[in-house]
Amino acid sequence: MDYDFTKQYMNPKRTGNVIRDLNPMSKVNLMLVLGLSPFIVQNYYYGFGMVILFVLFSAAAGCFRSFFSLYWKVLLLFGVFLFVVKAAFAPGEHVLFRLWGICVSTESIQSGLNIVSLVLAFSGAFILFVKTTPMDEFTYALEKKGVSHMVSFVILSSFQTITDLKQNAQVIMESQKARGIETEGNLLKRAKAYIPVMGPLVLNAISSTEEKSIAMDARAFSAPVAHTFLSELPEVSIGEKAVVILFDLAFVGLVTGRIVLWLI
Amino acid sequence: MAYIELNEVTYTYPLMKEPALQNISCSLELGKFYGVIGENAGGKTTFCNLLRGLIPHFYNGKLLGDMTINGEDIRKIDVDILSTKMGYIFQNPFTQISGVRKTVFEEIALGLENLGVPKAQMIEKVIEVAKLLKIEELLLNDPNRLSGGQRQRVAFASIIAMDSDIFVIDEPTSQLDPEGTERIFEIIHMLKEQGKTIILVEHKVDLIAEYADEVLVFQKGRLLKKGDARTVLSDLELLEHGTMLPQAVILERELRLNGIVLPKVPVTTEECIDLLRKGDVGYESN
Amino acid sequence: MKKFNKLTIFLIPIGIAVNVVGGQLAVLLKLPVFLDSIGTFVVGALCGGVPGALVGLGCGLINAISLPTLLPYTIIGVLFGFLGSFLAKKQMFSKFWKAPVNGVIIAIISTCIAVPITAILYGGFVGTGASVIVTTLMAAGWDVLPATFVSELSSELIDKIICLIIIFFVLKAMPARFVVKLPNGKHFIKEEQ
Repeated sequence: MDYDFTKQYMNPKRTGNVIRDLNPMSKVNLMLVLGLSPFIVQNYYYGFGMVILFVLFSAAAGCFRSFFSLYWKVLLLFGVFLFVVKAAFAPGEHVLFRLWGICVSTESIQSGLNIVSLVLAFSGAFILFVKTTPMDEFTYALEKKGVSHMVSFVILSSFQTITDLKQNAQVIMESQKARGIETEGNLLKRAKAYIPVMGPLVLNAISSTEEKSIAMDARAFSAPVAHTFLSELPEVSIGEKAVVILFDLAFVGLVTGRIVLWLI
Repeated sequence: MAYIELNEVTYTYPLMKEPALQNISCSLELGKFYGVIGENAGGKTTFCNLLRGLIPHFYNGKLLGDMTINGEDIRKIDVDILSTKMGYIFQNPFTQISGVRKTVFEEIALGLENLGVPKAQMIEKVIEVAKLLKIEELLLNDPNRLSGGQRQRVAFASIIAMDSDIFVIDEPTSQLDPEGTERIFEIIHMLKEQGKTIILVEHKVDLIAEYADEVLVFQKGRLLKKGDARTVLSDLELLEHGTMLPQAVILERELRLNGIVLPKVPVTTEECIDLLRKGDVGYESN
Repeated sequence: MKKFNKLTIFLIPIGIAVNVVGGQLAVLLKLPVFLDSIGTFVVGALCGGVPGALVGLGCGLINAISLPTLLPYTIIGVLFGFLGSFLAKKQMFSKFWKAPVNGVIIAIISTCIAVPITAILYGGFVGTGASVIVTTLMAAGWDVLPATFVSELSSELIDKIICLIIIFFVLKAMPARFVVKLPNGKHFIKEEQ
């Protein structure tokens, strides 16, 4: 057996990609600042500019495909339909088109573009964060900030439990089918199939927590000792810190600018 | 010297009328291998929970009598610290995997991370344990996708890596096939060779006969017998209480009933074969 | 999170997963309801408001990964956690007839919070089947707030009544020796010794 792979643990994890290698805390910070800035700027050119920026970032981080596999749904649902609804129903003076209750005006199109740019920009920032930040790196960064390792456990365990329960649900469904319980057909039949699957699933999952807690206790889960980490992330560089602070300052500037404009 | 001491311990789970353990008095020493046997719901698992301090710290209920671990009163002991000294493994291989680590290597390291072991030492230890338990080929696998038997071995590795002196092991093989069972017993045997203290609950009496120094028999919440493995396991009276005895003991009884007498009662299969091979057999006419 | 009951810590991920998988199963069976808050109420009822709220929060964040526009509604999930605990303390999970009553109460509360979010933030558009009702009503001349209210309330009522009935049975089927170990256990166990 070759134990070369253990060498990776000796050095902090790096991928070589500038965006991916940002510290998860920097990513959260940048996501919030960039994702929320269109709400302050209130200009849909800026909002759509951000959308394009996030798409470019995803490509630069080498995760365009997985980013877009989620983002296209938002683009379609909110970029197209939300715009249509807004354009059709928002009030406005300069009517362009009227049919039954529908009334399209220059103002309604404006308000449609505004809201769509906000929703798309924030969603883009959020998905980009999720796609460039592995959860275990995020929880590591949280622990380094002094958050309890139990929070890490809860976060990571949630994802694994979803996978496990989904698998169990499939197994139970198969066996229910074998016993003649129909999972297709009319609504009543399908509704009836829900309970025999969910019931045992929920009860088993809940009652397994007792053993799980004992098992984790045996792994010194609550031992009163400072933890060490097998995989570590690099220390945040001064350059990275500076960039994040710069963005934060710009954001604060935007907010004050907005407030000042209000007051005048 | 006695490490764990129980004096007239009686314990009742919450909401239960009948106690799960009644008037248990015994002492356990370091470095010995204790086999715990007896009928189902006889109090074996409750006994383990007591040794691990889960009673009274996790399960409430009513605890009477005195119990000390290394001189410390069980009621005052800090279970979080106790958990670092006493390894605990039980039957369900699925609930013993943390679900928060992506490879078996990282899974085994988890307990060491929690103990604050320095990284280089951690890596060394995980490799050592993996070699010992012959699970090197699993190290890069996802622990959440292993078979029951593989998971149980990973669970053992994770606990063994933490280097406790005492292992409480509750029916580790009840959900495994014969091959898996054999591998687990190899591991337990190895722990014994290393001088660890082992408290093992197990239905397979033949394996207990082979490895245990002492045997404790539980029945209906009482400690029916405790003593040297050979003496306890050749006690035919236990059969009347519904406790299984080793095959060799049963065979000896059958032979004797048919007028074939062995010089002594064998408790393991090897011992039985040995006696028969030597031909040291007496015949009695009925 | 230090002073939490140990079992509670392990129940939070289970609650989150039950929500997510319950919702996915409803989609898979093409049921016209969400059924994605069972875990929040169960954990809230058994372990207390804060753990329940954490389940709601976690579930909301995970749902937001596939559709970030759901993020603002997370606040409702958080509230459900506290509601679950509150209802348990008021013995509202003790009898079957109380389940639909709970369902109605919860549906009204959640609608009152969801409507402003949907109407103000998304102009009545939620991206689910309910959007069709909203747009139809709006095309018929309704204002955005009442249109959203009617559509949300109708779908919430069906969803929460069914949800709470399922939750009633789940809580009823929980073994007493397990429930007694949980922070809210005393509200479920009848005779104390």
